[in-house]
Amino acid sequence: MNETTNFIKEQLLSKSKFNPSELEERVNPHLVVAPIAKKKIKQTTKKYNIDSKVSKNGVLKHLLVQNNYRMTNKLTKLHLNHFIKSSNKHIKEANYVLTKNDKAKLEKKSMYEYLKTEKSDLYKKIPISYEILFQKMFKDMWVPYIVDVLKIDPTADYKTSLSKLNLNVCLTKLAICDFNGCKIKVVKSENAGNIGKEGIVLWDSQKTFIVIENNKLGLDTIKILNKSKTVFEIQLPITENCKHSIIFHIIGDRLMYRSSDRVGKKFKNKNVKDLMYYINAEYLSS
Amino acid sequence: MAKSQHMQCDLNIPFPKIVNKENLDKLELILHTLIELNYTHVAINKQLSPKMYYTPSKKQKQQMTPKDLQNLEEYDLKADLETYFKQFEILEQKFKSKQLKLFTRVTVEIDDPNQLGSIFINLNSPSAKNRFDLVAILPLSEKGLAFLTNNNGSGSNSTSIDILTFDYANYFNGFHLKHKTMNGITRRGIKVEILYSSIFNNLNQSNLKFINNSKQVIRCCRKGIKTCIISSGATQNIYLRGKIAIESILDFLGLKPDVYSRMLKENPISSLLNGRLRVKSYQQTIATGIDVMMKDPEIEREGYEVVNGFVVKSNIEENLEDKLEPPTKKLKK
Repeated sequence: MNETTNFIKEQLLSKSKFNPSELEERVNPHLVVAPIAKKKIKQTTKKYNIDSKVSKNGVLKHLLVQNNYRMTNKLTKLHLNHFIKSSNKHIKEANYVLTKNDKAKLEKKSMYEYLKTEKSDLYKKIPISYEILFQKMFKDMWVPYIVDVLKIDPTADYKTSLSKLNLNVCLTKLAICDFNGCKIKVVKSENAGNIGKEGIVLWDSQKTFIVIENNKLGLDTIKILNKSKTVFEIQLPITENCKHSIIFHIIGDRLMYRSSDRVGKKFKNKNVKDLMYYINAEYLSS
Repeated sequence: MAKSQHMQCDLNIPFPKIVNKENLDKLELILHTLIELNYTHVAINKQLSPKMYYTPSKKQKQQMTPKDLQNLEEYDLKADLETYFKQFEILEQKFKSKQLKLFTRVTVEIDDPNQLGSIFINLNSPSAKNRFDLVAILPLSEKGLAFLTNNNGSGSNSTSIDILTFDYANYFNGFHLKHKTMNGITRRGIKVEILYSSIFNNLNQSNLKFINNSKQVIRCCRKGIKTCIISSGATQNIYLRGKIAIESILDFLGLKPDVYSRMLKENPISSLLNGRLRVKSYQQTIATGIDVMMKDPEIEREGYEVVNGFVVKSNIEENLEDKLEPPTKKLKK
């Protein structure tokens, strides 16, 4: 008999049962501590490999049928991640190649030409240069689209064409329109390092603009600009010579929707306590 | 050397009810004293009483006395507002070279919300030529205050309001302020105004009533750190005070310096921003022009052109920049 059994006998079981061995027998099979056979947990990490789900025509099956909304959202994120990471990696490679062959002092155009002729494999993986995008995406595609939406005559004089328009109708249309291919510039921001950056929009996601930035000294790079707490500027050329342009400002905090969701959206005024960066900072400091 | 910019707001300088040469000279005197006291942002206030905008129906007209009917026919709201905007433009041109920035503001006195009709739609309609920068409300009864809280639906006009004011020279007749109602109002960004000019007035014990009323407002707004704004509401230039004198008044009311510094600086400018964004943008998403807080003549002074509300920039200078030599290259290491 142990000390514990004595304790039980004296203190706890004194009234109900006098012999503790009876109780031990009853309890013992439940108290046995034995190792349990471990079941192997299936660790299935879902990996969406982009190449594996391409059908014969070269189109992603999941994008065609939008049954699973979350799935498509995930795929776009994966695409963008893959695109940005790989392009940044290849730009590093290209810069390395240029410095090795003493081509780093060349002008920007001749840099791209050298890569196109000599290193054609690398050239395909690098994002297209800013100048080509500015000509093809902005001037040939986006400006005619917006001029058509706002119903501006590019041939007429700008004063007569603008006096016919209604400002509030134009602003409502601009809030809904597509910003892919537009040229934007950061004017005001809480992050002072971001001010002055400009580029052409490749993708307009929910919380960011993905942009190609003009690098005058070397190869162009991809930048991600946050929408929150920044104000973007658009300059829309209205005449054919591009001498005159109208200026609009996008307030990023209120446009935190994807372009497809923005169409049926009813915008509402909100409390402006998060827009205090809009006011000149020198006012508040003094 | 860059100018050291500072900022001080006074969002309530009342416009005279009867437009005379004497009254207008008084207004100019007030504005000149404001410049002496280092003010920068000033709003000139047009007050609309319920008699001015009330349009009764046929049945209600039969019950009215002939005297009231005569007054109704004599007064014309559209012409009155036109004279206000005309005088405002003259004032803007006079104070163009000074540091003062002038804004327009309207306060609507509400006795019974049913009498309002379509006044807010007329004031805020985007098609109107002249729009007010700031829109304020002055409730005269409890029903008037309930107008702000009840209409939360989509069709309400309460989203287009910036400021809530009270009549501090008299007792609030018939209503008592509560935490719950004021919280609901201020959460949407509407600021509550305190007018200090009546403390200098001894008529009808209005200086005592001011202390009672302002204490009540500050208590309801949880000391008013993020909600209250302070402005003068002075009809004469003797009632105006500088920054230090206002701080001493607020210290006397029992507020601490970190609280009243916000009341003077950040809260009034945020209400101004709310008003200007309503005029210059579509639901705060996309705005025209280079800066919302700038007025049209101010933008034109910086080299831009304003046509029908659009801001036009001529790009002749940019082409020259391209012809210049490219920036010198730095060797990458």
